[in-house]
Amino acid sequence: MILQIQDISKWFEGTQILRGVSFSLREGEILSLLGPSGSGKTTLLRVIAGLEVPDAGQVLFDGRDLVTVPPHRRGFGLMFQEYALFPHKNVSENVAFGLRMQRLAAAETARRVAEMLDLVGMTGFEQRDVNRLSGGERQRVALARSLAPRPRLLMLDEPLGALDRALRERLLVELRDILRRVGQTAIYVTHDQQEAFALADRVLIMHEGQIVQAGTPEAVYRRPANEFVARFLGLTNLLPGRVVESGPPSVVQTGAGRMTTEGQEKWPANEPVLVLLAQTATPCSAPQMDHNTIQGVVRECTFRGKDYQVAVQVAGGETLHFDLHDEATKSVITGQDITLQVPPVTVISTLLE
Amino acid sequence: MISRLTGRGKPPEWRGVFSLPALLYLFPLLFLAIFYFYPLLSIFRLSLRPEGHWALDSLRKLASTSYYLRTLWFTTWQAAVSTLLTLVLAFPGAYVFARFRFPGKSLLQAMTTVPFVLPTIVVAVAFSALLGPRGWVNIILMRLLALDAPPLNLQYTLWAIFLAHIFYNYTVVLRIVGGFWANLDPQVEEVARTLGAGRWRTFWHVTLPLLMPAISAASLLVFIFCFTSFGVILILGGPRFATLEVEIYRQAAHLFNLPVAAALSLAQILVTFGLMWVYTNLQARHTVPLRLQSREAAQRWPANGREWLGVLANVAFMLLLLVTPLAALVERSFSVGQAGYSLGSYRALGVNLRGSITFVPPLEAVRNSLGFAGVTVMLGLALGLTAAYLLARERESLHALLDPVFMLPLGTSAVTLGFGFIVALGHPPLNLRTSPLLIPLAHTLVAFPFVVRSILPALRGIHPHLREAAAVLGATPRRVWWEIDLPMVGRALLVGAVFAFTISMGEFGATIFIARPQVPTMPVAIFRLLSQPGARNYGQALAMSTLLMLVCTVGFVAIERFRAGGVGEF
Repeated sequence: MILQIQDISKWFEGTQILRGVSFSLREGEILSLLGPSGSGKTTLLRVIAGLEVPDAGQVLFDGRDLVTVPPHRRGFGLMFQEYALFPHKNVSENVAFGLRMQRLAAAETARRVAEMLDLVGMTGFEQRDVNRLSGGERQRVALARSLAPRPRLLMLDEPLGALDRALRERLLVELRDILRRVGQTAIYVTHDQQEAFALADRVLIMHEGQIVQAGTPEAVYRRPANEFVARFLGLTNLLPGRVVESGPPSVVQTGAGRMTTEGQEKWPANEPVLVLLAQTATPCSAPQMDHNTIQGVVRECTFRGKDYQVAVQVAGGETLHFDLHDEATKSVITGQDITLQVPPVTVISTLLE
Repeated sequence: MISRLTGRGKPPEWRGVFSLPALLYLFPLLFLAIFYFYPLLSIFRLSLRPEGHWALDSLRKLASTSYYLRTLWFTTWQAAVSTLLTLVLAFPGAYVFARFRFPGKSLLQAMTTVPFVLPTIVVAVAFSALLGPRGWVNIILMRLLALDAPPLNLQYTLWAIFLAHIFYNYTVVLRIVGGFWANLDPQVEEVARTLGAGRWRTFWHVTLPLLMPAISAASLLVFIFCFTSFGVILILGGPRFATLEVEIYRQAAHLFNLPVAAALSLAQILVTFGLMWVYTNLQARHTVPLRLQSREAAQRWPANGREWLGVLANVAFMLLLLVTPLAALVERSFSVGQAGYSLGSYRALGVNLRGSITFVPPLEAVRNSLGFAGVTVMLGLALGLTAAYLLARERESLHALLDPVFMLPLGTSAVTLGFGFIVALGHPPLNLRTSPLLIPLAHTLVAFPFVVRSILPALRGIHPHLREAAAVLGATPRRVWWEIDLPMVGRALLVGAVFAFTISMGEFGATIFIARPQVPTMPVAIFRLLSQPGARNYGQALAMSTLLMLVCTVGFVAIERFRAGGVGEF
């Protein structure tokens, strides 16, 4: 583990922004801090960079505590959301800044600047005024500037947040390629799960100053640790229920019917739980099984290109959303009853009564 | 979120070095204490306790004598009328500048800023060259009507005063209201139009309310300038008109009635501080979170004949108002007292005629002024930079306290400052009466708020992320200052320097009190020349005013150049 964050806490004017955050990072790993704005991601990044002093906890890099080391001696890279390009310096002066601070020889600096601009596809822009660059170009220059001194750890704070959608998607792919090519150890802060999933080896989900879940993108998406994570990831087909057979597979009684759960986990009988339903479902004429069949009223049917999204209000009042294929929706009429067959559900948490 | 978080909480130790050593902050504070507050308190003491015990006689006399009440009344209403006239005349100009593009606009824009730095004495002399007995208007009338004597004497009338005030403050309204207007998103007006409001109702219900902060700020500023008007009234008003400022000067310098002068100063200070307080509060409201546009996007070419006519009319008015007095000044400087055109008046500047009161040849005054201005620039920059750093630091409570304090000299009339210097610094414990530093110190005091205001926005404009980015890239705090702060503030420093220079060159109200007879500055020398009879002296006054105008114009052109990056806020 090259970086170890241990129990970091940080207060601002009586509010606790970070509540005992701990995690670690392997060399060459790309980690994404994912969470809504205000969850403490940026503050955590600033603590690691040395721009904020934590009120408690340790930042260990290569086993050495960094808390008293000022930012200019940490040798990290930080890419700001708005890039913070030096407006009074041109492109190559910006990229060369970190190298000059290392007192690198002029020839070596020039070589490295050229190499970096080549890496980000900005060769030929050396003498350009940074104030006259487009958003995407600025982003590339900022990346080149951060990478030039070969930081042992690169931190990126919502580096694509200021760009429009099409550009963001293109640059995301480029950014991933560049980071992988360099083998860069990196922490990537974002509130956009697509960015996090596309880039990161591992995702940390933050909420109110704490890490609420850590894991590979697949693991986090398949098995959200709690309701917050599920909803934050856009998984909203949630139903409260009670375990009636502990299995495996367990069976949960919900307001919309009995649901078989996936996986081999055993849940204690009578336990109140929250289950997550996949968005896929098949309409059927009548209940074929007593398990995993949902009956409800179609509230809305929205055409979305390759499929329809259907909102179904089930007994118990919740509205669930399902993606139905073209031919399956012939019988779907707003305001009419519908019966759906759903795959086994995921238990995401136990509910407190 | 990010910006809200930066700089709060426990400051990391490396950040402390970004700001200057704490001891340096004492420098501007001490300066203000000794050269601003101490003289002001001395005036208070002189007016309230002239013989060491409380004596309110002079105050009572002030309140009961109708002459002084008349002075106060005149000061107020002439300022009110001047403000109203300026506002009415400049408002269309502000609109034209805010919304339209037209050929020669940037040149005109630069020209309209010239009066802003023209010394009052130059403006007064220019208007006398236009309206006075030897002025253009009279010469033309005499030729046209074949008269032997000048038919109009506008020189010692209210109209001359109003005109000079309009000339002076037109720019203020144009800049504040026009600038605000230009940044107003025209979409807001367009939305009102689509919602069914006609042109006038849109103006009345949408545009005007949005402009109100700028209009009230501009009016107040103009009112304050006119209320404290000194040189214009002294020279153009003649003996018949006296504002508080002129009266303070007369009581102190001519009648040596210091307690009465002090009492008048007290009244003056109270009124101007009250007005400044209102102005500052307005300014705070001035920065309401409007969606502001970049200037260019909101501007277009006039679309039809009516719009072209409006633009042309305003441009013509600006040219008439701004150019004719200055043109008259320059032309008269080559022709008064001469047969035809010649450099006679300029040559005479180097000669000591008749061993008059101006013992030194007027050219000596140019040298004095340049020297004083040089010292003022150095003092002003040193003080202004430290003060700006003090204000730019994150502590908001400290900033809220110090910002108005640093602006105080701006709200105190130059005459009061000069009078305070006489009262406080002319005897022990601090006797600077004969010190060559006295005049630069007074000028620095006047220039100080301008220098701070020039530097502060640039300093604040440096996004904290820039310094942080530099630090993360390995720059030590000292290096961050050298690589980021200094280059980004450099332009603003130049602006501040030019401000200090031009202000020093043209300063009149304070200097007239403290300049020693054998060491006059240019404005003082002009004033002396004016107060002596004869075409020859008048010609020299014109010549010297022309020179001073040239210096200040060059200075302001320089400011405009350096300000290209939008540095500075007033």
